[in-house]
Amino acid sequence: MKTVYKLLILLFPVFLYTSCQKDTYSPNLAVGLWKQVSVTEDGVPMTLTPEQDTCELLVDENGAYRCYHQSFKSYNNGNGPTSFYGTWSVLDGTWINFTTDKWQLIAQLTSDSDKVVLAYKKDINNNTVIDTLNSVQKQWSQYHEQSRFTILQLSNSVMEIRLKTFVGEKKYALLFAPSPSDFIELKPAPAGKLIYIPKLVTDQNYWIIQNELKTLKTYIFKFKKETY
Amino acid sequence: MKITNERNLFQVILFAFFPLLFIFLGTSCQKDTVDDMSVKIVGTWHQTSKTIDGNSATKDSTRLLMQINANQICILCDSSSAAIKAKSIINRSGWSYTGGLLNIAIDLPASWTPVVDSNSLSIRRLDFNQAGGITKTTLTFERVANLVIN
Repeated sequence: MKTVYKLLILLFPVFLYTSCQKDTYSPNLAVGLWKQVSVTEDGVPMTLTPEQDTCELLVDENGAYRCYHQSFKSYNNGNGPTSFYGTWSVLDGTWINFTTDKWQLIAQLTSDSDKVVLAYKKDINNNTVIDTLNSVQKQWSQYHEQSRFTILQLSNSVMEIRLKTFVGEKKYALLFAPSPSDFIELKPAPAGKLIYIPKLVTDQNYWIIQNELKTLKTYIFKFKKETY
Repeated sequence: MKITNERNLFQVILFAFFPLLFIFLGTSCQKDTVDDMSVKIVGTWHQTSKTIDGNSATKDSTRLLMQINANQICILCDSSSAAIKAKSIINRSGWSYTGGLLNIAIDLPASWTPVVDSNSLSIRRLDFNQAGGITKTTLTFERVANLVIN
């Protein structure tokens, strides 16, 4: 009996030492090629377009990652960009950070009638039409920012991550493959600038977008590991 | 009597925390693995071949000669006609070796997985192709005498 007590006393601190270790994920598990298999919004599976369905992440050991999708492939006569990049890191073995391109709404309203300020031009028939290229560039401001996801699962085969963010922040960002209907092609492409930008803001959608930028939802992205 | 009890209690506590000593010893003395790639990779390298997904391809003219210096600067000699015309044959870039990958600043976000021995160096990078598949590009170099490139 005395020996049993001695053993219990011996095992007690070992138990204490190991039981206090939190379940955390090693950054090494995130490295590799991941294919996006589903995205949910507040628990409801999102319907993804074929372009979004192609989304893959190539996560490298050096803290850089690349993302593939075909959301803008139809641009530039079918030669649009398909590969995008950013940085990643794991924080406290619990969160995973990805930096992505995002766009901030800076569209202005006229002071007298609360109409969205747009640029206009003359078409070939001398009719006044909206100058989309000039307008959108004054309505959206691009920035590159970190999004912090909670790791729900991270193993050799599955990565499931959760992000609580505003609907508009998810839609008008490369998180990870945006819907083609939320972006437009900048044509002709401005020199040295991206050829894609969120859609034109008009009187019809201004308040819808403003509302999207104030509505919080939870997104869960699920990826499965691919071999290459 | 009281002193004896206290002494016994102290002994029990001491006895209980004895295994912790071994745990701490075991975990604290783990040595960091030493990777001497950053040292081995330094030198002047001449490109001998290029393969894409294992198939032989035309050499990468942007770095027919690559000098990797110990000061984290590398010099890439570009023999493409565009570079010759623009008189930009020599390109300088920073480099680092992190997470088992060789990062050459002008190639980022792509990085290279290096394999080196005394006289040969091969570096491999992965890229998405237009269809979403992975393309593996491998450049092989042989070590040449160090040159002073200005």
